[in-house]
Amino acid sequence: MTPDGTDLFPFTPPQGNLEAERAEGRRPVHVVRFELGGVIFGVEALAVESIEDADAPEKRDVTLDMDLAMLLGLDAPPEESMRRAVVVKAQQGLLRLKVGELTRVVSLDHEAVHEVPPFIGGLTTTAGIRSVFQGSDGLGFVLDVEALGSVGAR
Amino acid sequence: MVRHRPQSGPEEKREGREARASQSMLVFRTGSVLLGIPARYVDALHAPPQITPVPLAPSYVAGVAILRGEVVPLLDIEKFLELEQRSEASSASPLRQRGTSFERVAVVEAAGMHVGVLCNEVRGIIPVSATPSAEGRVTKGRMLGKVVAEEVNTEDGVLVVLDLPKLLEEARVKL
Repeated sequence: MTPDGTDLFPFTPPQGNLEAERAEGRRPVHVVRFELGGVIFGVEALAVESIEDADAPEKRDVTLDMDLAMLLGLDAPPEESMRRAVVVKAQQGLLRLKVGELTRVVSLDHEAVHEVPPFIGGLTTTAGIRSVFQGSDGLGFVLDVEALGSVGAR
Repeated sequence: MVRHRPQSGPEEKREGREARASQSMLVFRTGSVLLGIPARYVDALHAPPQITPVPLAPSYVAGVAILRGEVVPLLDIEKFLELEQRSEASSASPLRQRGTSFERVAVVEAAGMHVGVLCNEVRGIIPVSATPSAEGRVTKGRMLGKVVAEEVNTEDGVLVVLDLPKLLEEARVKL
């Protein structure tokens, strides 16, 4: 893992227990960060199984191959920019999210991670937004892989 | 940023035969409508911040921004209330961001929600001493009618005082 935010392809899954961390009430501090349609997103690094070439042959055990841009109602990025895929573990199985080139791990201070404001709280379910984080280049959204799995399955 | 310290509340005074309320309000114009938000709901006024769009949010949610260290969702009240779009001249304002033109963000709090309301032509937080207007003169048959507390006559015309808790509940992004 490269907490300083450098590119991390190929990806080595971090050690740890995501459920245990959540149960302890700790906020995610390491997220795999990527851009999609001009918006910054992150998924908790402990939920990430691998990062691979987007056009690599699909793993047999991938449950759902998701077009995240379409799912989140974003402008479709040019196909050639979607060069990476982030494979995440969810209850539904492995989800494969096609993302852009800028895929890296960032380390976030607890103070940089904010709860979703109640006014837009409905988006935790519909868009799978778990929290909002403050990066060096603006705000981004930490995605909840379980919610994404549910939305994608629908 | 202008930090607003709410005063003790509405002052009552007598003029003529009936009691009239003088109340501090944030007054601003949106489209052709003069709107008022009671000052007790207003936390602060900010210059336009950098806005981050929110995926799958309704078009009236302009995005989120960091204001005083807090993530604040931004409500484009003109879009939500389906008021007239502003003129081409003002739409070309350098303050225009992501299809939304505004001069100030009023951070308000009501119904357990902290929200930034995008405002134009802000008159400031001023005492409004006014007489009630004919009900529904401005708001009848409009989205605005669902979230109005009252309409009052002022020197600048009819002021539509918003029922802010109701407005935020109506606009809240639900499941």
